[in-house]
Amino acid sequence: MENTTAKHITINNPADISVIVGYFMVVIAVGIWSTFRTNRGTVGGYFLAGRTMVWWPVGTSLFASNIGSGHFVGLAGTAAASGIAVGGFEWNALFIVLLLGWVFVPVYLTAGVITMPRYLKKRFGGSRISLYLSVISLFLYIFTKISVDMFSGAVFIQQALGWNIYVAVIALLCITALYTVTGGLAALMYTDTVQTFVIIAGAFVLMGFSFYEVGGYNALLDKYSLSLPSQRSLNISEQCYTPREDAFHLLRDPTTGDLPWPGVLFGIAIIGSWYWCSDQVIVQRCLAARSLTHVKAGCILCGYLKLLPMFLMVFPGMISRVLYPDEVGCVEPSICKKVCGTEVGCSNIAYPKLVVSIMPTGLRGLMLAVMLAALMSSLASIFNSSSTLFTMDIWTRIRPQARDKELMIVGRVWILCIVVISICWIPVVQAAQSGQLFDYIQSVTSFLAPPIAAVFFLAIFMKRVNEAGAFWGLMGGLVMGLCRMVPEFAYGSGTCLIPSNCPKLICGVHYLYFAVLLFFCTAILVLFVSYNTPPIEDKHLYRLVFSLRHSKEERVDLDCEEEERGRKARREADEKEEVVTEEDQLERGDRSIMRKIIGWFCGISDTQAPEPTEEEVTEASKQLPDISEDPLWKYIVNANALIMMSVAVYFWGYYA
Amino acid sequence: MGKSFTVLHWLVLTLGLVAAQAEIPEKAEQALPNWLTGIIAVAVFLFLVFIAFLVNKAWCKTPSEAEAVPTEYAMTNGSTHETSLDAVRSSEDPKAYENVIVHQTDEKVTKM
Repeated sequence: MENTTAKHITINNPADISVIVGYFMVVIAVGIWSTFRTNRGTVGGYFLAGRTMVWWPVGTSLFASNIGSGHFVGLAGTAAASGIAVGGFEWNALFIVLLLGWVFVPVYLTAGVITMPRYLKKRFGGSRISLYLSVISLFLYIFTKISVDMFSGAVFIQQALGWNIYVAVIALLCITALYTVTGGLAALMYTDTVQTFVIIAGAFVLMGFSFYEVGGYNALLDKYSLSLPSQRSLNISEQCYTPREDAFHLLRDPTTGDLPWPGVLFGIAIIGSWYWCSDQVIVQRCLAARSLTHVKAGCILCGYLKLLPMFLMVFPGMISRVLYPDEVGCVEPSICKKVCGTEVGCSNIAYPKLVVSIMPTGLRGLMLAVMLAALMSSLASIFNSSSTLFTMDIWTRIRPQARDKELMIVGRVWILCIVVISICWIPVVQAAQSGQLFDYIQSVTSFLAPPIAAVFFLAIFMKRVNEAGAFWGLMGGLVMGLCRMVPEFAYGSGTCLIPSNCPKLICGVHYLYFAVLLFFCTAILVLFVSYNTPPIEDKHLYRLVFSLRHSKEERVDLDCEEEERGRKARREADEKEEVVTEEDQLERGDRSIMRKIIGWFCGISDTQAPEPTEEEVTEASKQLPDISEDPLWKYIVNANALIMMSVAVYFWGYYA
Repeated sequence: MGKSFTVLHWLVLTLGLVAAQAEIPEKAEQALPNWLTGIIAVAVFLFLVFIAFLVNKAWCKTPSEAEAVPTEYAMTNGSTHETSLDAVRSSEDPKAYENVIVHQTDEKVTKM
């Protein structure tokens, strides 16, 4: 009971509050500064930051949009429960992020696309694939990424502050939405840089304090296996509260381990290649870079930064269990209920508990700022990307005559819609706050993402794959994934005390193994259907597949007819609008001031370039996107990639 | 004599191996310190990269480079594209070059 009273008075002293206020001032200042730096009035300016970013905003922005508050709560919590293997999720990304920079982004750049569904449309033609991809991406954003971040933000705020969740989250969402709506991608990427600094600095301070508290790394090794909860009844089997013997191993037994090593190496790589290489949130940041070399350098920077979560979150999580075995490692349902409000276990409070207990006054405010930074940066990225997806892929389908200005407005309105959906989602998240939300999220991702990853891989590497193959592959993969996902949700994933009664045949396969299986089944299905249907001719594929990325031939886009129709509709709308505006030019005098203020706020100018004519379009399409690199810098980034991979392999070996 | 000694040695070795296997959970961890596994992993990784590099040099480079030769050859005499020049350098004399067109048809024939 003392705990609950202590919770509510943690952050109300001047030092903490001034740190938080200072943090918000800096974020807003950077947001405003970067807003003025770029042209936000066009699609390219708003969604791609005008393609002018250099490598360090790219790298830090990749990191910040990846690291959410979910990492602080989920990584540390899982680490407290079962050791360092969860760090494999982070360290696998080191290699995947290189795959992104060296293989996927060059193709996306030469294809000249803004969104991933658009790429598939150009690559395969037809519109059903891109529609499916946009819908499932939006679904995954709302039900996995946003909900994880909101859930963990809620856990933290509850534990550390005792604030009202609704007030806190709505305030957060509003601030996030403010600079996402006004600034566009450039503002996001610069504020992400600030957020990354805050995240790393704060997490480092906490790591220092926690290692000091536990008595160093070796003390952690010794004490972790002894951290047992003091109150436990006899009818609970021993393996439910004893720390795992293989807690300090990344690679665990393939049949009995909680994260078997083939799954950790290959399953995570597949989920990761969906997350890093074919998902809008990440790829959009790379497309905003100035040149391919900057993309690669950004990926390397992000890779180095991704080494840190193991030390900044995983180890502190384990330390938290050592220091507070009764709370974090609780096993008796009634005690758990008292400590953190759920009966299945309290490992999720590992990180917040550390922050509240060992950080001195003033630094607690810093840690709150860190959590807010992580939460806001990843939410903002998702907002921006989902609005890109919605505007560019779904809205342009509904209204082909939409011009840049309309798209800008729709993009911003969609962000507001997403914010509202997220707020409506809070009660659901709270209801599902059973400590198992992360299991659900993992399973949703590993049951739905592998088919997408498979199709992107094949689309880029195999010229032979065609529209029918890709579509039926995606559909087959979706059905297979649902076959596993629905029973798992229906039966529940179970806990150590009450195992789920889901039949072994369906739920017995580890979800990482299932991801691998699903990936290969989808790939085989795609290839099978493709080889039984006519291939796509080379003239449609120049600069759309990896082997033809340097090709200089003229490409006949498979979606050119549709684009032409869209341009024609826009031109007609233009002419109509001109007639209208000339008529009511005089009447508009009063309203225009208000409109101008809103327009300036959102970076929308009234004057816009006329729609290009057919000749201008063909002229523009002859200017090929440039992915050539300065040989010197190319060798430098290649060498750096090699060094980074060696460092990564060393750490994998060290903790294997 | 020597033979029986060898047999004895093998026997002792096998016994040792079996004995070691019985206690694998504890012994295997201490057998290699963490940093050494790390170093070994890096060494293996770099070796694999080296092999991949050699394989790449040996096979993957040739077809695309050969196509690029005719235009490059005319323009880049003495510029940074040394590799494309090396591809047509005569084996008899470093200052002489093969006839590019003949060279290219040769390549195509071998590829078939």
